[in-house]
Amino acid sequence: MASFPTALQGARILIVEDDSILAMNMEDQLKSGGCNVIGRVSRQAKAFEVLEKATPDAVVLDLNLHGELATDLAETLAARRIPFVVVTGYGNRHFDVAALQEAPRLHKPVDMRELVRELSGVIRPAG
Amino acid sequence: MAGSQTADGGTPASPPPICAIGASAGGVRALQDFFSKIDDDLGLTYVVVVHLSPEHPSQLASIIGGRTRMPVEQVGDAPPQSLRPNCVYVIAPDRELVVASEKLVSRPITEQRGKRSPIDTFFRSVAAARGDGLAVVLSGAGSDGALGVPAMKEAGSVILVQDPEEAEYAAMPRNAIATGLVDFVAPIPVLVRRIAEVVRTKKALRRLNEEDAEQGLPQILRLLHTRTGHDFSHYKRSTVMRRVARRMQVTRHDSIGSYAEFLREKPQESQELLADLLISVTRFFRNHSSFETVAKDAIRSIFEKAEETGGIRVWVVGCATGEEAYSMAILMLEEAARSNVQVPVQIFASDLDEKALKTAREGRYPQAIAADVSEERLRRFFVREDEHYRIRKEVRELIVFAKHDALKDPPFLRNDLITCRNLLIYLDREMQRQLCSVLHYALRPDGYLFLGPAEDAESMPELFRLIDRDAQLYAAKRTGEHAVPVLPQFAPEHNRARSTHGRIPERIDSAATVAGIHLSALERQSPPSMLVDADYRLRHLSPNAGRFVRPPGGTITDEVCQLVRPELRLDLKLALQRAFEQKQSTLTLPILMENEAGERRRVLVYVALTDAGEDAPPYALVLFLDAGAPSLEDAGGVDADEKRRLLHELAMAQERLNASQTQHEQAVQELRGSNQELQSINEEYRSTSEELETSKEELQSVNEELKTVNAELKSELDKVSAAHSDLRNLVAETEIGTLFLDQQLRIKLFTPPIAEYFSITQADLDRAITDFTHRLIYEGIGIDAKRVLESLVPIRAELKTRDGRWLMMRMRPYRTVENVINGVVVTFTDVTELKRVEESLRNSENRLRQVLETETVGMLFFADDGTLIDANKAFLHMTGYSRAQIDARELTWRQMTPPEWIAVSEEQFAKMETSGHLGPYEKEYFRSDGSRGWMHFVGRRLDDGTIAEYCIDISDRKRAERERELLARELSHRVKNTLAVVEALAQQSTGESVEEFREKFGGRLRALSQAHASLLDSDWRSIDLNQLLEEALSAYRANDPRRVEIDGAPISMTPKQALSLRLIVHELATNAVKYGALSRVGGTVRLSWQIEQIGDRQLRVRLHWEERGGPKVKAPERTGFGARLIKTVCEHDLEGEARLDYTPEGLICEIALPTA
Repeated sequence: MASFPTALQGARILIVEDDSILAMNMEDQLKSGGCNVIGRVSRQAKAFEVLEKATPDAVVLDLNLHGELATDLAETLAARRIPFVVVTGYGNRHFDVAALQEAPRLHKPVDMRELVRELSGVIRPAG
Repeated sequence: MAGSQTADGGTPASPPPICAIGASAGGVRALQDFFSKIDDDLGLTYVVVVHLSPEHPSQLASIIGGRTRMPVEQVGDAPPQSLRPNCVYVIAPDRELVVASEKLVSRPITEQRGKRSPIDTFFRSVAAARGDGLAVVLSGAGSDGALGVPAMKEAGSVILVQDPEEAEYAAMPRNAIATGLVDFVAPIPVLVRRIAEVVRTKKALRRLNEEDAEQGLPQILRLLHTRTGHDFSHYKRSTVMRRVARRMQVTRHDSIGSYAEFLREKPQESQELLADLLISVTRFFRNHSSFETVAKDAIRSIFEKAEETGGIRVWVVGCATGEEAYSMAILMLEEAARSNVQVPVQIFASDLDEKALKTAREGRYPQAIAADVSEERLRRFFVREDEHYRIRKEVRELIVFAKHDALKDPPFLRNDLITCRNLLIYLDREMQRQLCSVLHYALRPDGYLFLGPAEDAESMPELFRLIDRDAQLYAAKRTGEHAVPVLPQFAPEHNRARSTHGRIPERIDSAATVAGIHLSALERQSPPSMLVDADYRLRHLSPNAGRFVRPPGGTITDEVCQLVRPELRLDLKLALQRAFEQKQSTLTLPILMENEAGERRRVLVYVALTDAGEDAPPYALVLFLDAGAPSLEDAGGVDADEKRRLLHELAMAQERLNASQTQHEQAVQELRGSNQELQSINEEYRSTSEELETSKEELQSVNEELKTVNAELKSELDKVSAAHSDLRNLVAETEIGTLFLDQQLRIKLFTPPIAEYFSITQADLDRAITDFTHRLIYEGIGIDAKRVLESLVPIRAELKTRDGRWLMMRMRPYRTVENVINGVVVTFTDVTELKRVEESLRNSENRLRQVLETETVGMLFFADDGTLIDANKAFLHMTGYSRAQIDARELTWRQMTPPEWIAVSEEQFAKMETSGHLGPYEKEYFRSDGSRGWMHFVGRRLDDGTIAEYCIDISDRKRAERERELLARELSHRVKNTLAVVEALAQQSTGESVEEFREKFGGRLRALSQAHASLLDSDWRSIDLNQLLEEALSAYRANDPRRVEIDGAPISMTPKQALSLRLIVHELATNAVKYGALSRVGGTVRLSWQIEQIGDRQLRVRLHWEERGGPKVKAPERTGFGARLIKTVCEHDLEGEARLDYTPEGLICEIALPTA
């Protein structure tokens, strides 16, 4: 795989995904592209723990975490102006949460190139 | 009242004339109109009398005050006050007004409420106190005023009445008009103008010159005499003048002369004036106490003697409108009842006024007479007719009403009682005396005369004896000679003769002149003489005529033929006859006469008619000439005896002649008397005939009426017989058995079907129904019929006949047209067929109902406007609505439809308009608790416009559909997830060769798919750890299960855990086969687990993988994918821990994971 755009080089990324294999694979790929994956969590609670200590440059967010919708997390992220890209296995379901509506959305299985493009889009230029 | 005298000319200080106004219902508007139009300076005093409720204060004075500038005053408790001109006085509630001694007096009403007639009371008091004035009758119900109007009129007032067409209530005006005495009938604006004119004339009349009247009045009376035949010259001048003045006001003439001219030109006016002059007012039992005296002192004794005389005759002179005659008749009937004497009573009631007689004959009087007649008499002698009382027939039949002039026509004779009230007062004194003597003549000896309170007969003490002064009741004295009285109109010649008679001596006595001396000398020297009138009455005697006169014994008489000596009588009489009849003088032959001295003398009688002038009545002068002693020639030259014989015979003949002469005279006298009587009787007959004529006319009209009634009855009869035949046909043809029973339950009528149920035939009519056998299974007909008769409540019952038919029996009271219960009507209707149909209907309905009441299908009925009018139980059950809500029409489909579905329903209903069918369609609806459910509807419009809908609750199906949808989505998610995992696995699986990659990747995919398969078997719910691990490791244990040992307590894993563990075990097992214990014969794996309790509900599973007997193990230099996968999955997915321990004996893997 070609190397990531510069905007993602060293970008601190938090992966929120309940399937370990997917998370692991995503982590591997982002790392290999130059990203700094600062966490890989499967539950909102864990994500909040991470966010207490660090502020990622972007978050990859699976909406369905062990059967629960990660709407709280999405709102928190929006409030803290942490950009995120939504990844979901469901169709274009409508969500009432404004934060979710505005975020870019990718469908599983995720094309890594699309993920990279969206992440580059949401991450503000460093500085 | 006629007795009161009023000054005709008036005086400067005379009180203002009274305008008495009576009104009642509808009167307020009329009064407003009246006072808004009338001038306020006419100089009249207005007194308004209306009927007011005694309980409420009256606003009338202020209402009138708003319409006129004159002061208006309600006369309440104030003391009597003088009447001022241009003022309006209004009656107060519960008071009545009268005028007494020039003052207006308000006093409490005494009569009870129904009998009050304040208008009559006031009118009468004005008539009595004031005479002329004006009476105005306006709108009102009833007849108040109808009795007051004649009184006012008689007193000289002008009567004005509101046009009944205009009046809101016409009865009072009409009743006033019915008196026939009203001068003006007009709408109010015209009345007001007339009043002004009358007032103007009235003022002019007050200035009338006395001489004018003196001259004009006789002229008027002469005209009246010529035109009407009635002579009023002997009536009192004041009375006549008052009436004439009244006519002058009405005709607007302010001088006698102009009125006389008017009278001459207008013949009709003489009738009007006559009518006015004849007006007399009377009441029932007028001067009540006098009537009591008459009843007590006269009538009682008349009845005592009545049986001798064979009947009672009463003459009511001047009866006017008959009240007095009826009062008398009532007294007679009361006395007859009291004394129990049955004698015929005949009352003659006479008057000049035909109009009044007409009223009298009718015997119908206004209600207000209740004030004069006691309630008992009203009840006994009157019949109530609307607003009037009519005299009962028994009273009416006693009286003959006749037109008769007591001053002119022969009287009714042999009366026991004569009432002549308020007639004498109109006459001058001479006429009064004459009338009294006529009345005396008409009475039986000791008969009674009843006069008015202001009259008396005391100037004739020789004829009447006073019995009671207050009542003016007299008895006729018996006079020796019952001489026929002479009335002026009887024999005018007599009258005139009599009046001239007194003057002769006057003329002679005054003779002191030469002519007188001559006359007296002549008299002395002339032969004795006498003056005789045409009736042969001795009028005058010369001084020396005495010897020729010899009055006979007995009553003194002036008949000359009686007075002279008998020898002279015959010759004198013949001579007088010649003189008066042939106007020839006579000298008789010598008559032998013996003088006082016994000397025989020869006397010649000379009779000559005197010539006293054109107008003077004729007199005869009788001279007696003495011819000396009888000569021999007289004695006769013949034989003296013969002569004596002849003389004797002559004397005898003369005597006979004299005797017959006397008889003749008496006969003539008697005949005259008889003639007089016959004339009276004739008069009676004439009156009776007149009555009969009237009766005949009445009978004819009654006959006419009867004919009409008869015709009506005939047509009624036709109708009845038509109805009868209708009824017969109905009875014959009707299939409804009908039975009419009377009150004793006897059969009156029945229709043919009844014979099917009861064993009766037409011959059994009038027999009791209970006596008959019948074919009904019912024994209660008698009891039930009696119950219906008693309670009047109809009975309905269904009965069975013995042959199994069903009858509907109805039993109801028989009401006649007059609503009298006269029995029972029983009807039997065969309802067998009805019953059958009813039953099959009921069955069919039951079936339908059962269909409707199926558990799951709701049935709804909507009215055209969408209101739910009926629904089955299933619907109520589905939705929770109640029957009561439906019955109250509270529910509509719109109410039960959620807003977003309204449009859908409307579209369906719109489609139904064309297709007639509704749906099928599905929608949500509201249950009664507000929750929603799904319904499937299908329906149609029914013939009666209602909409019927079936509905089925499809909420469950809808829920299942939704779940299925969710599941599909979940599946898709899972597939996508799985594909993502597969992709990730593919990316992670590395190998040196394609074969190696295929093996690694393929192994992992198989593990995944095996786990999926197991989970699918368990419906993706849970799976036991034991089972999971056995399946995962089965390939390695196939030959020798001991190579891979599995040991642990059962515990269930979630699908997610199962999947993860499956992957972990797969990695461990492939690693063991490739590098570890399973790569060599003899190597074993032991997989065991323990379950620990952590926290309240949390368990932890500790898995222990331990390999033995494999090649020597050393830790790899870098972490391989397998190890990483184990750790990552364990931590990430299972939220547990994994530890790999590469001991030389073999790999040990510890995994701890929380589980529920």
